[in-house]
Amino acid sequence: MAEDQSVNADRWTREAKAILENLGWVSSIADLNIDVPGEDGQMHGIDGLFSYSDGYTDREEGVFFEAKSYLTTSFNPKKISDWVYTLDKKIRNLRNSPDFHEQFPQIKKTHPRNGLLAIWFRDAEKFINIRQALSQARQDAQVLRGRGLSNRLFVISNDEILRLTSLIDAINSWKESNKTHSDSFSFIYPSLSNSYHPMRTMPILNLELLNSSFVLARGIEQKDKYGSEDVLIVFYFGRLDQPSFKILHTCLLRLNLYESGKQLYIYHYQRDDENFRKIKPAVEGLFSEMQGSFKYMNAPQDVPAWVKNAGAKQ
Amino acid sequence: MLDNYQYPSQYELQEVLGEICSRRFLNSFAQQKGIFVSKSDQQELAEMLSFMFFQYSELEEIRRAALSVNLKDTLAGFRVLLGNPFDLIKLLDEHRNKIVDDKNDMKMGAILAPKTNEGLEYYTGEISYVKRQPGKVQFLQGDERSFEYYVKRVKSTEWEILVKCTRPYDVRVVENWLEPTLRRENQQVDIQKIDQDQLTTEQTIEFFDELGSKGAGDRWRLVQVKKLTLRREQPEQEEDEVKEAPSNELSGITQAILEGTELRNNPFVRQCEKGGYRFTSMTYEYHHKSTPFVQIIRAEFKKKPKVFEISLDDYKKRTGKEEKLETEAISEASKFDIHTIFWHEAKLIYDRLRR
Repeated sequence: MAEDQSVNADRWTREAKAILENLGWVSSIADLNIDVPGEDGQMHGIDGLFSYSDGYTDREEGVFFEAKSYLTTSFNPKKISDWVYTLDKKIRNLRNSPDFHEQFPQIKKTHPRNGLLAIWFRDAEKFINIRQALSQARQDAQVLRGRGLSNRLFVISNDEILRLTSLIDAINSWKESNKTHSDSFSFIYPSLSNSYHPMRTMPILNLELLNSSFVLARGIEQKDKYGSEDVLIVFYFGRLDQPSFKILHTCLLRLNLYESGKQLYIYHYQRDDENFRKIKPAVEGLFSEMQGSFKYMNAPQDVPAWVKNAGAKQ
Repeated sequence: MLDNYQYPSQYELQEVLGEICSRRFLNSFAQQKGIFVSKSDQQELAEMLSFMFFQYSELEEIRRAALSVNLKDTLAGFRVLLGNPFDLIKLLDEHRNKIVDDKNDMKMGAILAPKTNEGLEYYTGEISYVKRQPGKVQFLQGDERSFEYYVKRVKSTEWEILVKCTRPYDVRVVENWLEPTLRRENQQVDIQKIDQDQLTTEQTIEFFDELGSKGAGDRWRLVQVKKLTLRREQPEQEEDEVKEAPSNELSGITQAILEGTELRNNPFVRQCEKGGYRFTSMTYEYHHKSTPFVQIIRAEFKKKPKVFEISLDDYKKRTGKEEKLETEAISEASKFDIHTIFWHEAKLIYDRLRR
């Protein structure tokens, strides 16, 4: 299985960078595609280093980024385990490496325990052929066990990447229709029962929410010429059935986000138009106290133009 | 889905994922979503996941894994040896319709006499209880369970109790109540069960070897070993490593059992033994010698809870010239017969190995 090391690989790296930057991640701590010295005395190649401010913990997370660009026809499931293992070892060698810290002092300010492996299959219309095999390969992959420093590793591919671009498009669409208050948009990090942090809102999506089935956000909308109002926004990637919406409803209640009279937008990624039409009245009834309304998110087959444009730039 | 099913709190999610679900499930669940945490214990991974938001189908997956829903019943059991003659049936009848354990609301149903016209020797009883999870996790509450159990008098100082388990833990419920209850009756109590910890690795292999050839009784012949599961303890890890024998090794294993050559001499078995693996379960296919029926039966040493159980995984009939296998309905009584024959053979083999 041959990764196209030249144009396509670099392009995908730039495209992925654009997606992550749109989610509030910062890549300024290092250039892309660099070799860095590890604790083992060896040089390790990484495609990028990012950081973001975590809304739950209010600390900086450091992320080692690997970009892979392939065709579905050259997909080998066994590679997933190798890549995960290699990325983990790489982080292990770098995160406490004095040479690495000297070269990139900003890394000291972060918790450099994260790896993100973004695999993009360029023949996206054929991704359906390998979706099941990829899912199985992720389940079968092995990571280092035992005691020691733990690393968090995330593997995303076409499905997750397209969800992220759709999320960004939905956010931009909301901002476009709320130009006066477009800067008010932020993701919600609720105060959760088992942790001791307050609720925070920020325009940065952390790794946990990046992989969640729904994401909560807020913004301010101009109500009329006299005033504005706070709105609750849910970006929902789950199934469109009644039990799923009931659970979402109870989640909003539990998190004290469900406020009578407040505007609620539920942007949904799944389509299933026929079945959703049948249950929509009942589901709207669930959220009626909050003036709930449903909006579509894009369901793209390929990354949008703004991503491709970012990839084309040198 | 329960009507009062609410989105779980972060505490509940972390508790369920970290303390109740198996590590194997947790890894699989996380990795399906592309999430890996290296060198982590279960709690760490659970904590990370508890900061995520899940849709209903994912919560149901977690909930079912935690409740270990097992819709297929199995048979497990034990013998109770007492110091003095004792009427166990009378004791069970005295507790009829009473809650006998507050911790789990364990309630004894009536104990029914054997139906002698069907040739059954077992008294039948029913027990219900509530499986409580630590921390009173609302997300998992409401798991009420009930099961049937069967009691046979072997002799005045020995009773056999077999449990039709809907979940492996059911047999432990009976055991955990019966032993102290009998002691309170001033009885010396010895619970005898099929316990893998009392067998060496070699004996475990011999156990499954003999069980294969004799387990189903004289009227059935072993045709093949369909599955073999092995386990190896890993001191550094929280859970044992579990693997299945590859299908290309199973024919050699079947041959060894059929020919009566020691299974330990099979190269794959020898390799596993050297690698520190122990047999943990075997699934056998038997064909009836004079009718077209086929039974697929599994014998398993479970670790959590520690239980030996028998399960009729499938029952089929050979039909047509090509002897196609088609699933056949089987009565509960016939299933019980198959289970008990197998369990008794297993107990005989186990007792002989322990002597």
